[in-house]
Amino acid sequence: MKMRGIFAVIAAVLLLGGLGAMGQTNTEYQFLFSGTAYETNAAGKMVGTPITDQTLLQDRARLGQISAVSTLAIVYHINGNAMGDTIDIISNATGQVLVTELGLYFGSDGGLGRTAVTNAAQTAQRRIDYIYTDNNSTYTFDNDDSVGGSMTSKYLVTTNGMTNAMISGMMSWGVAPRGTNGPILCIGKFSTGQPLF
Amino acid sequence: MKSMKISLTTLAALLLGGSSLFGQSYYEYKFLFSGTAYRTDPSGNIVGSPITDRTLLQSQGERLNVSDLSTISLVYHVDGGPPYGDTVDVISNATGETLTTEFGFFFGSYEPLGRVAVTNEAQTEIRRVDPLYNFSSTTYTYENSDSLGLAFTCKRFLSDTNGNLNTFVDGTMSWDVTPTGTNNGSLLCIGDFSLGQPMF
Repeated sequence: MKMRGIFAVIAAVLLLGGLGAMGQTNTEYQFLFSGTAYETNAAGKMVGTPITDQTLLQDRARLGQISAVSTLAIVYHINGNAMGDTIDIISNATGQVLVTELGLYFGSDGGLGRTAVTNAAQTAQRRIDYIYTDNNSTYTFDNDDSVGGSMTSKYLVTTNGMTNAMISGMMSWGVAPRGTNGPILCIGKFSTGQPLF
Repeated sequence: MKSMKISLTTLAALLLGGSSLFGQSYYEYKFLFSGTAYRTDPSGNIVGSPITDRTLLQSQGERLNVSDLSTISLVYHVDGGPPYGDTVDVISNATGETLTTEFGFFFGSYEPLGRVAVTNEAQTEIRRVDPLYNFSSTTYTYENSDSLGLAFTCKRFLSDTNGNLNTFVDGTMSWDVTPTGTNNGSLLCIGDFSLGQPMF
């Protein structure tokens, strides 16, 4: 019974993690985020500033010296790399990934004793993803270990023969101090919007 | 500037993790939890069942062969797992003895792993992401050496008019449970937590 359960989990991970294998055409969806970035201000008080997906996107555009933010998008990228899903900044024209904002990795890694809950039809899944950031921006920093997590729900919805992913959850991640910047902690809710690529 | 900020952060983590250093009279508070446990039912659907701190206490009571739950409590233990962080413990109401640990809230502000909390200068408020660890297998926990979930934690410290330092902790937490023993399927729990009355 236990082995059957393990095989079911592995199968679910492969299918839900690799939606493309099911014939789904889209792997990149608009990433919608609304939350708060907490930091300690100059007066020593903890203050929260609203941040959204556009805040993250604009920060990346500024760092990349791209003035036309409309040429970019921030997307939830299913199977963005071999470790799992990613939140990427992409070119709207080509879909090319320009930089990865967040990695959502090892959420159902049996080797680490972690498991997701998946329905038998493999169209719904709940899991805890660990957030990784591998480069520096206002809201990320280059670190080898996880810096936060996401409580993620994934659903596959088929309409008129077209299967799309609906992904949502709550996420929080930390940014270590760098230079004159103190630590930041971001927390908020996210969901996926329209499919892009 | 950077090293000074890191030193301040380290100091804050030490003080906030071990608030008994402030002369605080209480370090264990009732742990209040309300959430949902998701699993796949026999017909293959994901279903959610309400769970509370009472559910978790009953589950540990069964493992500990304690039938009278009025003799034990589930508590948030400030600095219960030094040097790693706080814990949620099952304790004896009579003596305060820790009978087992339900969760470890560990490494949330651990600089060797690049994790830093946000703390105000007065060191009375801290926000961080705590990885969750389990140390025993029950219906709602799975003994594992790696973290199995996360808590988005906010801690506040407030002195009352008598000079006692009171701790307030709340947040959202989620953890998963790998099938083991009589548990046939995976479980994912998610909910909100806060602290109740001080115990010890």
